[in-house]
Amino acid sequence: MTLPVGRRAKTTAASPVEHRSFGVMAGADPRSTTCGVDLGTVVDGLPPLVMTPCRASTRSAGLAACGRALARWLLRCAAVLVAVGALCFAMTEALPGDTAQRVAAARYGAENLTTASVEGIRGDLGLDRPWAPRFAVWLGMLFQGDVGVSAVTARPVWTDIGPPLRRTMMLAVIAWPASILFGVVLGVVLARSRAGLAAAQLLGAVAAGLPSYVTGILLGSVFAIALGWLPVAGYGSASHLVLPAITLTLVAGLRLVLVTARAAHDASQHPSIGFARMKGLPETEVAAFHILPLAAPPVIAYAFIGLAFLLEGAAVVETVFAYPGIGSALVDAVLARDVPVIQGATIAIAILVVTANSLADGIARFGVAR
Amino acid sequence: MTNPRAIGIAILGCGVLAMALGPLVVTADPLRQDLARALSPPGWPFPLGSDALGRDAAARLLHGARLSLSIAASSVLTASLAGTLLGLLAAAVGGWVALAVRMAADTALALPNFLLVILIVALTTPGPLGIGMALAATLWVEPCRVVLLTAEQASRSTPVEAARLIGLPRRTIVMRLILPTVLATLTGVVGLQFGQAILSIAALGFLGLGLRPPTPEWGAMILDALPYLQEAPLLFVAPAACIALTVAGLLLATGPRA
Repeated sequence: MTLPVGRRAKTTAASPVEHRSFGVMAGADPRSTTCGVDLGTVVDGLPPLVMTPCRASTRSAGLAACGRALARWLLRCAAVLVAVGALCFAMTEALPGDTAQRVAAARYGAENLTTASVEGIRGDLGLDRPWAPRFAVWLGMLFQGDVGVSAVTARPVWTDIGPPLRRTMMLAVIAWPASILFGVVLGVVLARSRAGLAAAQLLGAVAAGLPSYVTGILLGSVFAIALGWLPVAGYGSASHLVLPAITLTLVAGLRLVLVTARAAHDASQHPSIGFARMKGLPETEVAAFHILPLAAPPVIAYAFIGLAFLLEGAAVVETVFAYPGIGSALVDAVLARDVPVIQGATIAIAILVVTANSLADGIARFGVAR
Repeated sequence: MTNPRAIGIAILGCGVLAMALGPLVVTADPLRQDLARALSPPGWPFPLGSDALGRDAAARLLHGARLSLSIAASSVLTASLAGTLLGLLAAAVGGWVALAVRMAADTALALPNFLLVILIVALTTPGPLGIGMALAATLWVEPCRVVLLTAEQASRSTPVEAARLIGLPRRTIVMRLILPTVLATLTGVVGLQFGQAILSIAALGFLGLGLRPPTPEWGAMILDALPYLQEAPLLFVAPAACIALTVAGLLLATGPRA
C-alpha cells in the first residue's frame, strides 16, 4: 500500500509543524517492525519507551492501519487456537489408558460401560485412525468453537467455565480502572523530581519482583486476619471482591507507575511545558492538562498491557483468595488432568489477553495525534 | 545512593555471598524431619526456624535457591542461545527464512507466557527437566526478536556502511561491528528473562503444579507456610523476600542507567 506522493506532500505542506505519531510509516512494509515497538511483548519488566517518531499518516492510511491491526489480531487468535489445540491434543495422547474408554465413561457413566459402546465411540470419533487426521478433526472442531465435554462434570466445557469467566471479568472491571488511576497519579507525581524518578524505578523493580500471591497474602494477613475487616477468602458478597481486586490493582498499577513517570519526565522536557509554567499556571494544572496529554501514548498502550497482565495474573491471585474465577478453574483442571476444560479455559484467557495486547500494540503503532 | 544499577548489583552481590557462605553455616539436610521440634522459632539449631514438619527453613531456602537458579539459568541460557542464533540466522539470510522466524516468534508471542508454561508442565512429567523445557519454550522468543531487530538496524548503521565501503570482509563486519551491538542489547533482555524464569518456577510451585514435595522450592515453601502465618511468619517472609530481592536485583542490575 503506497500513498500517492502528491497527497502526502500536500499534508506536509498544510501543517508546518511536524506531526509526530508512533505509527508504522505510511507506505512502509507492514511486516517491518523497525518502526514502532511491539509493546505487546513486554508484559513483564521494563517497557521499551523508545519509539521511532514517524510522519503522521493520512486518514486512508489510518483506516488501512486499522485493517492491518484487525488482521494481526485475527492471526494471533488463530495462532492461539492452533498452539493450544496442539498442546491439548498432545496431552490427551499422553494420558495413560484408552481414550475411547475415557470418553465413554464421561458420556454414559463409569458403571454403564460396555464393549459395544466403547467401540462405537472409537468408530464415531475416529480414534482407530492415525493421529494426523484426528488432529485435523480436533482443530476443525476447535475453530467451530467446540471444545467438548468436561471429563470431570460431563457438562459442556463452555457451560462450565461461563460463570467463572464472568466472575473474573467482574474483578478485571473493578481492578483495571483502579490500577490506571493509581499508576498514572503516582507516576505523574514521581516524575517531578530526579529522586522521584529513581524511586519509580525502584518501585517498578519491586513490583516486578514481588509475586502477586505474596502481595495478596500480605494484604490478606493485614486486612483479613489482623484487622478482621474483610473475609479471608471465598466468594459470595461484595466484600469478597475487595482483597483480590486490590491485589490485582497493585500488581497492574505499580508497573504503570514507572512507565508513566518516564513518559511524564520526557514530556516535561518539551518546550511547551516551560511556556505553560512561565505563564504562571499552577503546577497541578501543568501536570494534568499539559504534561499528561503529551505523555499519553505510551501510558495508554501500557495500560492495555496492564489489562493483559491482570487477566494472566488472575490464575494465581484467584487461587490465593479461593475466588472461583477462570484462573482457578484452569489450575483445578490442570490438577485434575481435565483436558477439555484446560483447553477451554486457556483459550478463553488467551483470547482476552491477546485482545488486550493487540489494543496496546495498535495504540503504540497508531499513536495519539499531539 | 540513588543509582538503581548500584543497588541492584549490591543486592545480587549479597545473594551470591549468601549462596557461597551459607553452606558453611547451614549444614542441615533440607529433607530431614524433626517433628518434635516443628515450627520452632529462629535460633539454634535452626537459624531461620523450622517448618511444620520440623525441617530446617534456612537449609531449604539455600537448596531452593540452588534449584531455582540452576533451572532458571539453564533454561534462560539454552533459550537465549537458540533465540540469538535464530535471530542472527534470520538477519543474515533474510528473505523467507526471516519471514519464517518472524512468524514462529509471533505465534509464540500470541500465547500468554505463563499459560504456555502451565500447559507444557501439564503435558510433561513433573520435574526440573519438564519445567526447564516449559520455560525455554517461552523464553527463546524475546532474545530472537531483539537480536533480529538490532542486527537489522545495526547492519544499516553508518559504521557498517562505512566498513562495507572500505571493503572490510563480511566476517569482520559481523564479528566486530554487528555482534557487539547485539550482545549489548541482549544483556538487558537476559536479565529480564532470568527474573521471569525465577518468578514462573515459584508461581508453579505455589500453585502446586511445579516440583513435587518434599523438594525444597521457594514457591512451594510459601504455600506450605500459609497455614502457619501467625505462628511462624518468617516461614512465609523468608522465601517471599528471596524471590522479590533476586528478581528486583536482576532487573535493577541489568536495567538502564538512571
